Amino acid sequence: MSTSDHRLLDRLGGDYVDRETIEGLLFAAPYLIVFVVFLAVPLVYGLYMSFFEWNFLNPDQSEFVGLENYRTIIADGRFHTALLQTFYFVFLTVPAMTVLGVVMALGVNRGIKGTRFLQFAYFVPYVTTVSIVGLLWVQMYGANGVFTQYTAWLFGRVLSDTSLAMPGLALTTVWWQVGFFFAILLAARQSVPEHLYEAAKLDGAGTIRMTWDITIPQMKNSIIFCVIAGTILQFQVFGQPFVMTDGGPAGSTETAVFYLYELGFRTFDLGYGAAVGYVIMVILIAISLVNYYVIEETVN
Amino acid sequence: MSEITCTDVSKLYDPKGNSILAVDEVSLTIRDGEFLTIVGPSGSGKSTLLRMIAGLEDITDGEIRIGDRVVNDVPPQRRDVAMVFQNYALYPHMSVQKNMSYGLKLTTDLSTEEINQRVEETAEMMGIGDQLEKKPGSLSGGQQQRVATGRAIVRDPEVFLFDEPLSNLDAKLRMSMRTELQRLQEDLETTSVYVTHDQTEAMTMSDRIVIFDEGEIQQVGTPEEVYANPTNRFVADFIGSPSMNFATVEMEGNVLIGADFEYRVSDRIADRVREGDGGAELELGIRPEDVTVEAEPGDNRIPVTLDVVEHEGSDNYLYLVSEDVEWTVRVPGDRRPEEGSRLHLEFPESELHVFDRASGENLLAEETTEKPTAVTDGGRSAEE
Repeated sequence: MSTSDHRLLDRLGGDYVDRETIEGLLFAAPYLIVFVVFLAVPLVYGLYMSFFEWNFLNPDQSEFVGLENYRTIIADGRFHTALLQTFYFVFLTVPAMTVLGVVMALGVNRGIKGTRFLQFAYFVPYVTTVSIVGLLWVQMYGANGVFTQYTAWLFGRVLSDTSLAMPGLALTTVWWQVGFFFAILLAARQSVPEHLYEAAKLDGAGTIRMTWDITIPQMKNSIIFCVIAGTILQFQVFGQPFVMTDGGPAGSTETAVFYLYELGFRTFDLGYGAAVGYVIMVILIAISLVNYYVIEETVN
Repeated sequence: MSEITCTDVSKLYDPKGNSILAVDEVSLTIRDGEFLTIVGPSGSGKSTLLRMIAGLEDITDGEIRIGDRVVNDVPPQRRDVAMVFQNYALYPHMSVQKNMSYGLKLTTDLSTEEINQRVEETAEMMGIGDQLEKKPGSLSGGQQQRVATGRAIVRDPEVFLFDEPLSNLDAKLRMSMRTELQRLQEDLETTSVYVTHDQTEAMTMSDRIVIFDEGEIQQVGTPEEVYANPTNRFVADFIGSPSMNFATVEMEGNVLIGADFEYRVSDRIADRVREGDGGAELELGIRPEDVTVEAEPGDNRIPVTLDVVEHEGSDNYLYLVSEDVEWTVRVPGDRRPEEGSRLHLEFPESELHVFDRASGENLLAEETTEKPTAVTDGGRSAEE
């Protein structure tokens, strides 16, 4: 090939690559702009704030305190309790939602009558807002309202008992969000190829064996996804204690993000709040990383 | 090892009231240790029949026996059959070793050591001894096929069922696996039912072939029988590649009259045709390899024009046209007439087939070969 041919190709290739890059950037631009304006800037600004005793009314007069806010966190018992309670909430909700989601998906997949109705019924709470769900369950738990007489014997006064309030929020959350898990897990179950079950039948497997040896391993990736996404999501729980208990009784449902809200918007201790926010973010990143490696391990 | 007997077996699917008769009163006996191939076009019901033998489909009507046992209501896992699926159906999350040992673990009392030993022996036999720790996803198509076959063999079942097991392989691999499967079956002497749409597989591998169409058996016989003595037009057309030439004819006296040719037959043939028919429209059939191409016209020669010559290595295929018929003729590879030239086809009466156009029945079926097939009841039932 002659030199001029090379030049021609290079030029064509160069133009093509440039055009591709510009197109790619244009496609990504809407997200990038939103990301920078609403996430990257506040993130950096938050880090900056966390080194100050921030003056809410007059930011210019904020006092630089270095790592003082972070040192306070180490000794902040209320934050530690909130963190532990958050983990407790994750522990109460995620395994329950996963197991329940699997059971519901397997049940609906069996082709029983009314499958479509069940799919709808399981999913519909998920599209309801937390305020509606919260208010509904406050009534269910017998604090007051129309369901009291029917549910009081069952739930007593869950939300006013320090040891029952968090499980109460967890139950509400499971009811509210299990439909999302169910939808993902049903899709996973339905994508297991039928011929695997036929092969297993001929190999001598009964229904229970097939569930353990074929269905669950085949759904494994989706189950792991549910656990990870669920953990990250539930760790950020805020709406339920905000609507249903206001963190009470006696702080027993105060979660990490709820505490952050308290600091930021009730006591306006923005510098310290920013530091707490950063610690929560680091914990979430750590959980995500652990989960990521767990997935990598199990999938491979 | 066991004989399989199907008696008047039917399968009716009824999706939302639109009933489809996939298998229609099929009767068939697969002998102990036999390699029987069911061949037919897509949707002919051949796989459904196989799946009914496996127990993966309910039987709407009729009876299936494996050995002495009626298995209609016996679940698949208790039929002692092993199946190789078209897409292999290997468990993706299990290693090759686990794939092969799974059935043994569930259905036998063998110890883990014994199971492992059997799996290793079978894997060696299948040439996948060094792949045991791998997952199916990391194997080639050919290796996966071997695992699937090994998984069936290791269980030492009464019956092997193959559902188009080679159709996902490339042509070369398919050919070598064909030979391998054949050899394995001969060594193991296990009754085997093999479903395929590939007539070459059917012809090369089987002790006997069942030709299936529209849920019915068209013919049962050895590969030689169904090739030389097809009972009807469907079988004649389906078996053989390239397929048989057909031309619409009428018979006047001893002469078969086509659109632009006449072919005189002997009294013997003419009488056979008259016995089976009554002067209605007929179809003449002749295989491409039974036709010779001559330059000069003559008695019983059909004038044609050469359209296309196709090279197939040792052979050439000539595609020729007469007034309303396209003819295919196989000639030696060194013979290559000029395209567009005027030629004349000749073929011996002994290789001729004459079909009733309405019923498709081969009116000379018993005449053309020595051994008649076992088909009775107008070519539908094939119980032996």
